[in-house]
Amino acid sequence: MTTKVRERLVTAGFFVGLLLVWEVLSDVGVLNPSLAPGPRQVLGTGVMLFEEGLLYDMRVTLTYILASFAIAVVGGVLIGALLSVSATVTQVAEGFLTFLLSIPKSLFLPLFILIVGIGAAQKIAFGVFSSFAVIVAATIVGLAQVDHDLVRMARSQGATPLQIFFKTHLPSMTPTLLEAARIAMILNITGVLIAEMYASREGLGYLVSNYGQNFQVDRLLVVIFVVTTIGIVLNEILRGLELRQERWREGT
Amino acid sequence: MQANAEPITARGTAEVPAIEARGITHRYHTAQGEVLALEDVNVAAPQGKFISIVGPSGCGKSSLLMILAGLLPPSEGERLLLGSARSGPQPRDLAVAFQDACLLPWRTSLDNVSFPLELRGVPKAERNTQGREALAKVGLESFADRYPRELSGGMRQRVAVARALIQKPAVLLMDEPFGALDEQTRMDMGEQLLTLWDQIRNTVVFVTHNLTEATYLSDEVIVMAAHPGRILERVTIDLPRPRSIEITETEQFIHLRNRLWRLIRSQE
Ligand SMILES: Nc1ncnc2c1ncn2[C@@H]1O[C@H](COP(=O)(O)OP(=O)(O)OP(=O)(O)O)[C@@H](O)[C@H]1O
Ligand SMILES: [Mg+2]
Repeated sequence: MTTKVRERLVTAGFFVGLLLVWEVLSDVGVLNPSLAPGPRQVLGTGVMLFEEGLLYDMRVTLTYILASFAIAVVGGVLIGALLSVSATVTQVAEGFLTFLLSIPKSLFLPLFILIVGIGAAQKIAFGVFSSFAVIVAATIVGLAQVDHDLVRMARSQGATPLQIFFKTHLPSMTPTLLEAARIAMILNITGVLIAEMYASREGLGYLVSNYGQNFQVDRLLVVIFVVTTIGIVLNEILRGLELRQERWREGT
Repeated sequence: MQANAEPITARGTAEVPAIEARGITHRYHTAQGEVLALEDVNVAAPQGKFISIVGPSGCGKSSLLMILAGLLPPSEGERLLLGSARSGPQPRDLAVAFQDACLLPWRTSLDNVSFPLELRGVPKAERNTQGREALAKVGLESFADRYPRELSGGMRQRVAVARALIQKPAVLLMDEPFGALDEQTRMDMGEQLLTLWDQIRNTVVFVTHNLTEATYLSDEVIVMAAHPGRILERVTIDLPRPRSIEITETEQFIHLRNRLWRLIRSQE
């Protein structure tokens, strides 16, 4: 407990120190203020951007992220479950999944724009495309690990196939799925942002590419900070859900 | 050996057996070929009787029990439950307790015990009341909020027994429920089971390879032989009830258990 508090203090101190050094370096002119503006300036820009309506872009991007994440998880579990019905199908699917997991997704972005245009559908579709393979793979692994004795027990008590899925398969896969969901979330955020950077008039990804092209480094840093925060918060939420599983898991 | 097609029925009464296996033959198909696990097995458990099945490892006890439970369709023959041939699990008439407790690890004791009720759509408040009652019957009311990993092996088995009893089954099938426990705990569990059963007096079919346990609990012990799995002998245990654990030291008890032991040993 106390070591944990100390660890936290050390981490916090490290970041405060880093900010201080950064501030001093840019104040005395060691760093070029147009390329590396100091923390105070970035903070000022941040306040200004929020007044100008940064919240709107945050909401747009967050909506895309959450929508594509929901679709990727529900769709990924369904597809993974369907692919698990026969061993042969699973084998074929695994080859395809390995391919999907290992190619850089951004290569396909132009193709997505050709197919679904540049509206909300493109952002969500590309977010889903970036992340769902991880969920499908985790579902296949998770289902293979389900204890058949538990399924038989549920069957003996009269569980219907749907009850068996929701009350035995799904809960026993949940830890595996949550682990995959964290990876999927990162891929999904990346996917949505890249889609926004590539073709958009709003959203955080658009702001990143726009400020970058106009050499507005202070603004760019604010948006990067906002995206990082969103990423950390979403990750922590999923980790919190994962920790709730700890109590029942053996060997934890 | 009795290869009779006539199943035993409740001795001296015209009552239909609670559960009955008729002409059961079962083959498993494996990569190495066919395994004849059971050949023409006939068993009938009269209503309100405690029947045990003993036999060497691999003689098909579990297979027979799973067939009786409606969880394994036999290659040949039929299972009759309360006189009628209904296939599949019949959770309202029949409950199964499996070899390892088979508790859902992500559920507390209470939620495990009330699981059968949840499947039937019983409202939560009612489920919890009945679940707590069932846990109290096995002496675990204060462990309602524990997860299986936080319980000892014996406690887990008691939760499993409570879960089976909450179904209020006419027939209770148990596959070596105390097999993984040490000898002391096993006999304690047996004693508790008998105390509970004396209040319910439903039909129990109990698989074990512990002959003391079988003799202590049962009205009748069915001895099986292996390769292929078949019934070798039926031994009536006419010890008075209710039985306390001291009965295991009586001459009559030791005589019956030794008889079972000789039957098992004669196969080797
Ligand atoms: N799923 C299966 N596939 C193939 N063979 C099986 C299967 N289950 C059981 N068997 C075989 O059928 C025979 C009977 O097995 P069963 O488990 O019913 O015996 P048992 O009497 O319960 O044994 P034990 O006392 O070890 O639990 C054994 O030869 C076993 O190898
Ligand atoms: Mg067995």
